Amino acid sequence: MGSLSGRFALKYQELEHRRIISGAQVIIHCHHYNSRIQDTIESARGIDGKQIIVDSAEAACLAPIQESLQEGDDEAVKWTAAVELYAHLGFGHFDVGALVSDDVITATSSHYVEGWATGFKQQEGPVCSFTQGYLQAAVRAVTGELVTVKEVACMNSGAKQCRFEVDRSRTRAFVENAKKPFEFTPKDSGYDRTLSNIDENAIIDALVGMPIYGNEQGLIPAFGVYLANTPADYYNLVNIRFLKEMTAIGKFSAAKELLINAGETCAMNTFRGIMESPEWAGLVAPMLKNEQDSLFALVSLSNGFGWGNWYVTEHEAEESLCIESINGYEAYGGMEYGDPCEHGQCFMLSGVAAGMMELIYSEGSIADRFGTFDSEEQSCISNRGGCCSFAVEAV
Amino acid sequence: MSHFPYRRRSVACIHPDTYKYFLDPALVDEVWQRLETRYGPPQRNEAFRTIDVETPHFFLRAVIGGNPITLIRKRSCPIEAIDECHELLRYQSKTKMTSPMTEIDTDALTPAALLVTDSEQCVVTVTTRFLALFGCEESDVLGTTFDEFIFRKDRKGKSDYVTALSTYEDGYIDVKLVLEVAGEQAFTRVRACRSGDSGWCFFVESLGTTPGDKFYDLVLGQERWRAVMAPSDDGIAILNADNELVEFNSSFMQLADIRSEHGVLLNEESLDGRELFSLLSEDPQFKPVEDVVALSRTKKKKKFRGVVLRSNRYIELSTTPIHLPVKGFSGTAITLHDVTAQKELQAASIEIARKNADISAILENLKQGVFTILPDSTVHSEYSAHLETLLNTNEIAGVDALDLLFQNAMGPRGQRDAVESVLLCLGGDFLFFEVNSHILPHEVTYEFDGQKQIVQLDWSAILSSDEIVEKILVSLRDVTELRRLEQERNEQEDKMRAIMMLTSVSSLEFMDFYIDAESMLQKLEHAIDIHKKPNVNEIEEIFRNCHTIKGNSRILGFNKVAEHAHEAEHHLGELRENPASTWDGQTVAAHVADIRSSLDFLCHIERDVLQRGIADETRLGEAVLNASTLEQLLSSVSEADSHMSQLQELTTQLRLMTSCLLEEITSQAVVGIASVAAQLDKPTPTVSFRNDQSLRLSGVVAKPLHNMFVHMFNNSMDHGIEAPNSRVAAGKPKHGQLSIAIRQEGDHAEITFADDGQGLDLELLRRKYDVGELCDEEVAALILDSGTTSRDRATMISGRGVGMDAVRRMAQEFGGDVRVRLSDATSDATSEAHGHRPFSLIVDVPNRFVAPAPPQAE
Repeated sequence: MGSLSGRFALKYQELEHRRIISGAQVIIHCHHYNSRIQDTIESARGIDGKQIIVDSAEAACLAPIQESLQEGDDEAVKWTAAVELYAHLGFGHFDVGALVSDDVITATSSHYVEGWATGFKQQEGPVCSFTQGYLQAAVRAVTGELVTVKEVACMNSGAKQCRFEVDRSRTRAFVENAKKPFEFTPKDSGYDRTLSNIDENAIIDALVGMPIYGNEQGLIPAFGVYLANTPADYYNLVNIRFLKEMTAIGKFSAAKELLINAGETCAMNTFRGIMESPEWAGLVAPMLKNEQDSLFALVSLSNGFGWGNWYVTEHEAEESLCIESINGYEAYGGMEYGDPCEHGQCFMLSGVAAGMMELIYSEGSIADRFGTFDSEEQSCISNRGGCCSFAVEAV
Repeated sequence: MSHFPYRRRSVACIHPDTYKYFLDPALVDEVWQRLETRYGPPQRNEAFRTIDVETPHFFLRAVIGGNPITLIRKRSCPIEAIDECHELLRYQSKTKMTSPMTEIDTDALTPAALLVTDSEQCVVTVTTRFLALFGCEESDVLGTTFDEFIFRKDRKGKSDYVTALSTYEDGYIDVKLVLEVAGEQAFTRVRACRSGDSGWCFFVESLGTTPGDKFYDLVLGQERWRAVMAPSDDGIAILNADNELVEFNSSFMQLADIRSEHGVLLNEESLDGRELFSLLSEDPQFKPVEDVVALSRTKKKKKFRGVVLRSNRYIELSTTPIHLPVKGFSGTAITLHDVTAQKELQAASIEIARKNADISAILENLKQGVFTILPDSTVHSEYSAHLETLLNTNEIAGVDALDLLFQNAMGPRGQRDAVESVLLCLGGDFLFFEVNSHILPHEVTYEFDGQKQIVQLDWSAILSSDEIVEKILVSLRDVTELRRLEQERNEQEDKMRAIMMLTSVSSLEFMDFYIDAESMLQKLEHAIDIHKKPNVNEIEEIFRNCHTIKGNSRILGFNKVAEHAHEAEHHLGELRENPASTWDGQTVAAHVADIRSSLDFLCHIERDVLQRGIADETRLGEAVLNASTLEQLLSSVSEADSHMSQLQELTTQLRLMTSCLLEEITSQAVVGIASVAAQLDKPTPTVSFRNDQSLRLSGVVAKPLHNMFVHMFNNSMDHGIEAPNSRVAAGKPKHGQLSIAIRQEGDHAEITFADDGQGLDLELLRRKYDVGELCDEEVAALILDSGTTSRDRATMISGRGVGMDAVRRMAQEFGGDVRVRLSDATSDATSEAHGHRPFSLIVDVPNRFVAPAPPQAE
């Protein structure tokens, strides 16, 4: 059987800067963000963070897996599609050879295991919660069965491969991806090309043209980090539910802060890797004429990653940054899921805005730089703002 | 809203627990009366508009008007004194314990202030110690959630707090926080814990802001350490006793460069707490480091110092063990210092030093003179030792380069001028040097103590990075011996060539050539006065002689002589064409001297090497006398007594004996045609003779006729006979054809010479000499005039318009003549179409030089 990768071809929506794979909007994030968000949520006490991850992954991945299946596919082809889509998105590789006989699925490479090992503090225990959700969705998409997948051995704990057991006696209901269409006409982009020497279109074109999909191991080591194409719905489902459950135990403020911090730390780690990568040296470095240009280049890169169509409106080197986003996936998610946060929904972008400033204008380790700038989302589309705007100031 | 009186702490004062007491404006005077009664009247300072009261334990200070009052405690101030003052101020703590913790006397149990919150972390109870810490009122605190007290700019503290809160299960959250309450900030340690299910307790302890406070000192030390580590380009890391990374800066992470199998760099967070040497286990360079760290557990002073190569960077690595009292080994400090640049510099320095040593050795031992010319045209102080030997001086460094090079030079002044002009490019663009360097001399002859020394020079520009000529490198080599050897080799080659040429001709042929050439050369030598310009006729004479020597030499293959003759002829060309031009007698004389030298050389080879012994006086005299003297004798005898039949018979017999056939006279010239044809890249033509009457010619005209035919053959081969392709295209055979015929015509014999070439281009001659009015025959006759040629450019063979003029003069010298006869028809339509006419050259020889054929034997 030949590769089915043609089914997962990237469709890029140029005006919105949205990347679509198998019918789902996907966001390129690196292992730093993905593992940190997961750890933040799973470490929280008083809620079942792991269940949030599994449910969200299951709900968000079902549709794209189904989209990658075609009429007439037999079960083997359907499984091949599910396996290849997982690898194509950059999450790794799993094998369903023992699924029927032993109700076991194994994985020999994992975005989350690599992410934990290289970008996050070493922990014992399984870390493939997202994969559990994906596999549950895959079983449902391929066989129609509602199952529970549990990781019983993980490479993060020293196992040779990750091992997932499939429990076919699931009673827990499927958490639907219950989003409603959100119609919004963003204001015209205020992108002022005179503010920097960066050719944003060249950067975005290069990113769109790059083969950002999994290698033979289903991993995407690029820009000095491990990338993955994750459905935007996953992040929205995770964030909204995390906030909701944390609010219920009186920790809303902490939860919000943690989500922002994850974006902030992620931005520094990710962009530091990017700025030291050959891709940066080849594509971006020739455009840089001053220190500020680096900031504009990072904004352009994040637009190419599908984080949103955002642009700098004001910037004073080492001091402040004003930046606006007209279609960030978090703000849209707040409206699509009908539960926008009162004080803005764009935790990731808010943290990234501060993280970019910290990376460029502060010094030392990530910990040294963290907190040297403060970011505030001043208006948000999810709160009927014309755009999401962020003000960043040196602390 | 606060209620009077209330107080605010003043943090700027160095005195402990200094407060400002804000009084109800309506009661200010009443309060001051009480204070004056107790402590005496206040001192007024009009300059500062303040009032002061000093008691044994504190000061009271206020602006005139008395509100607020600042209470500044002395070190010895007891709490009772403050309580008494509070009583006078009517100030009372409003702290009330109304929370579930009312049964706890927190002030008694802990030095920390206490906040009690509900489950949402909204403050329900606050201790006076907390209010005192911030100088605030209860109302500033109650009802506020705890995280609102976290100072906005303390983002690190808040992050630590929310992370801890999120993951809190039991025990204490323990964080450092900057809290801000009612505008007052305090650096605190906050420990928080659940209080049953109903709320939280926050124990807040001020960490002080003054030196001497232990915690403050610890924090200050930590910040100082961080300020050093964070921006440092050196990697700094602290390992604990288990070699786990507990602290490190970003430079350590970058320099250690620990990556995943996919090349992804492990970041700080993933390194934190990891055992360092297991991360580096794949790199054997770190094994000795690990061994030293293991030894340093017991040996305090055991340190590692060394350089490792990591990711193409040289890293200087050092370890220092950390030992604490009682506990002993507690960890290791590691520093990484990138010494790649130094290593490269060191390597480059070593290489430079080595090269310098090599250069010094070379300069010392090189059998060449090498030096550089500096921008001021002086010689650099470093030069090869051999230069002194070469230029016979030890005054070299700093002297003018031109003086050094040309002080003892014998060459023309132009050499020095050329160098001087090229030296102007020093400090300028390389392009200037490049386009002018061709004029630099490459060989200079010196004279030292009467000895000639030939030195070869090479010139190179030394450039800066932007292609500016900084210096000029000159290398000199003594080539005197080389040139001598080359000359010897050339002479040897000339000798061999001459031997080959001479052995290809007979001794007699060479003798004839030599006598003739010598005769003409003597005329040349006599005619040329280097100081006096010859007149037109003399120039013509010189030309003819040069041309004849050239032609005769070429026929016999004596190319050296021919080349020198051609050079002389060429040099005179301009003078001949433009009689007004300057006479360069010296050059012409030099060329003639070259002819002489070449001719003498041939003679030397013939006589001394081949020992064929020709050209001595006796044989020369015999050879000449045999022909001309005998002819004179015969003439006088014939005229003296024509009746003497026997004598006539004798005369006839003698004439026969001294005469020869035209074939014999032209035989050498015919042989030489092959050489001329080869030079012109044409096939050797066939030569046909017709002598129906068997006429013989006197030996007296043999030599002139030989010379005439040399010229005529040359002209035919060069101008008449076409290139093979052209001949084939015109329907002719590739090989040309020359025809010679002789017959008796009245009082003379008529020799007809013709070729089957392209004929005469009469139209060209008409245009060139502007003789449009002349008939064809008259135009054709022009070729016998001096300077007439149909060629634009002379070749080594012909083309100067000298040959046919010479031919006619030679004929005229023995009483004959040369004419041109045009043919009426041609088989060559192409040539005719181009205005060419076939023609013959007619040589008339007077009858007295013609002998009838000998009677045939019956």
